[in-house]
Amino acid sequence: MKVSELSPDALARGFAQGGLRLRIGPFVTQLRTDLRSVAEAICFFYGDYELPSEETVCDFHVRLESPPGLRRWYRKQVVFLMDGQNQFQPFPFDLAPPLFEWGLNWCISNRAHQYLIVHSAVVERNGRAVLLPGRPGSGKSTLAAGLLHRGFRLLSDEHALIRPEDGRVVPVPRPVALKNESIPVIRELAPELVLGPSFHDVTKGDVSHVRPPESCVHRAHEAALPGAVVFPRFDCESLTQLEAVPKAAALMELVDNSVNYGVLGTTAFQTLANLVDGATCAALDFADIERALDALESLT
Amino acid sequence: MVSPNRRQLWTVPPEAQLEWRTWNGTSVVFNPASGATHLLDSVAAEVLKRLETQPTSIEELCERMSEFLYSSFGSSLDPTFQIETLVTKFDELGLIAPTRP
Repeated sequence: MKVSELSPDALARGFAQGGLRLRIGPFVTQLRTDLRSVAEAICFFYGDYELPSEETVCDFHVRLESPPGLRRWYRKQVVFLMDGQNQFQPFPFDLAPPLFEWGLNWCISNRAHQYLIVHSAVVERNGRAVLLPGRPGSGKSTLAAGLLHRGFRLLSDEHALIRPEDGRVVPVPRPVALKNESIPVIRELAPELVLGPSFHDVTKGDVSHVRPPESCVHRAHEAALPGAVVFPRFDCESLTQLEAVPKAAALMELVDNSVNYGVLGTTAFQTLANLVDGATCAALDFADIERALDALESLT
Repeated sequence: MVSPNRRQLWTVPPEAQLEWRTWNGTSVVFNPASGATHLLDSVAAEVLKRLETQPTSIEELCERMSEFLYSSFGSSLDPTFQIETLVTKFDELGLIAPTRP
């Protein structure tokens, strides 16, 4: 059964009464929440995703709820719990939908150690995965959304999940998070992409998410070998420049962008070294999104 | 920096099991014992590899690597200072340790 096969009311009831399971890429998340806004966000962004049966083993058990006490009613807040444990400081209540995404990022980063996890957007075309590793603000999500517009398949917006056994990147297609100026840029560049509502967060600024195209969700079982690693460097005053990065330097930068390198140790080193060995490595300085996309397309 | 004893033997501990990858003369080394990853140029890599092969002193490294260093840097640099600096740094990073014959 897919999310879209349930009415919004039925979905909200399911989340509130014991929770529902949601399959996102290789992960099954059990979500319990009585917050209507979260149910509506799931309805909007995850309509094409599977709702596994109650017997399905879950990777993450997640709850979003109002905290007890005054904050349930006054200057309302929302908390994210995984396995019953509160993982973050409370967020303003109206940020509950993006908190689900941020919380899921946390779950993957801290639990999915069967993969080597790199902080990276990943897209694919012609069987080759393109990794766009970088810190927040580097432009990776904006580029990923732009590449969707150019016909690339989204594997991930936030995490490259690399299988150590064969070096392939496992898809975990989820809403692409755009921030601040990139929101109107993508709206104008790619009007066919479906953007959700904007939220304002004190630390991140304005945030809006792009719904993954249905085709990306349907192909979530198709892992891909990395063909290119491109380190994006957004600077509003940059000219567009794609330049080769020496493989040793690329490996060091991937290590720096790895989430669980210290957990996996030698396996992580070998996996990243093999990845670099087989991929074109480059850095992309850009300010203009169209020219940046042209440069990236030239790699595939 | 206090100059290390040039006759002191240094080695990569056998249990270190360093992992290496090299591209175009630049190496990346992973030390499982520390979990750290290091970027090494050709000279640093050559010194570390020699210490990984067998216990060696700074004095011996200078003698055996004179041709290599000359081809890398010409006559403008003092190889002893370079090797002393590298050995000191490798020791600080936990890549090598002093040893006895």
